[in-house]
Amino acid sequence: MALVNLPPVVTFVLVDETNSRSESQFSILPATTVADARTAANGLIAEIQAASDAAVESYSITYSTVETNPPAPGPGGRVERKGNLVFRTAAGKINRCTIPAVKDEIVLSSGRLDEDNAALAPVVTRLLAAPFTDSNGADLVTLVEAYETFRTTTKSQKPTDRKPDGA
Amino acid sequence: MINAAAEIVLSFRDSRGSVGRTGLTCPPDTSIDVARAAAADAAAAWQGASNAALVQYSVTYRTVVSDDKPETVADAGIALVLTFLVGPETYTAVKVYAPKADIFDANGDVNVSDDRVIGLIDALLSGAFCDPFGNALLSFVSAHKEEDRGT
Repeated sequence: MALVNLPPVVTFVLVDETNSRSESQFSILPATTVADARTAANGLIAEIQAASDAAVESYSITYSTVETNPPAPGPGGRVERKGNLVFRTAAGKINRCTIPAVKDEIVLSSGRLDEDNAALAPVVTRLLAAPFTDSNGADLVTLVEAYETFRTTTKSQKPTDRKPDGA
Repeated sequence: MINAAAEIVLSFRDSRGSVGRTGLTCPPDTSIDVARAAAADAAAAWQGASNAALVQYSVTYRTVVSDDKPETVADAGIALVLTFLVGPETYTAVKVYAPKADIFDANGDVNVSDDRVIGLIDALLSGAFCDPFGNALLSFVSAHKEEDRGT
């Protein structure tokens, strides 16, 4: 693996009187901590508000890491084939995440995922540990469901050579 | 302001070139180092369970500033564009949408002496901001008005 951190990006969402939205993006220095990035973003809000008639609704700070030497994908894998993991949280709610192009060996004949499978067990173990939570900050406590589903293939995912010869 | 949970998105590409994503969440005060380490661990675990190959992961921290709509007429299709020098003959531009009309003169040119424009420029040259390649903003070069096509 060859992971490269890209410069973080701060994206402000501005909304006008008609509820139309635009985004203003600014890049920040690569080594900036989240706290410093928030401070810089907060400092820019007043300046943007002074110069714009739109209101700053929110901002996000995104740190992206790119794999410059990805492994070859397994043959026959399709991202539309999803492994679904459903967890109960400490607050008693449900949280779901997916595994795109889930491996055959993990899926039982009924469509259920085998949580004891050597390829799947590390995923479950990882999610049940810090720092992962649901969107409200509650810990993931128990795996309650694990199953396969298929998502509709989008237009851009259709094979580019799908037309038969001569068509 | 409210800091929402930090979101980690893992992106995978299958043998056909299609990209699938999965989202995970962490507490909003998770440091970027901890979040990145967690994302890398999760990516390795996911890679073991997926026939697709990891191509990228990202950590996003979102802050809700206000849910108030502006009461004045504003047009999110117009932008104030500020251009900065980042290196020898290398420039980057940032955009602020729905700029106040009185920032521009009668010819549509930006009044760079306006305190609001100066405030924006000073904030961007404060040392925290850079171009998309990590090059710090060195100096202000120019400003102009731009109109985006509406969707």
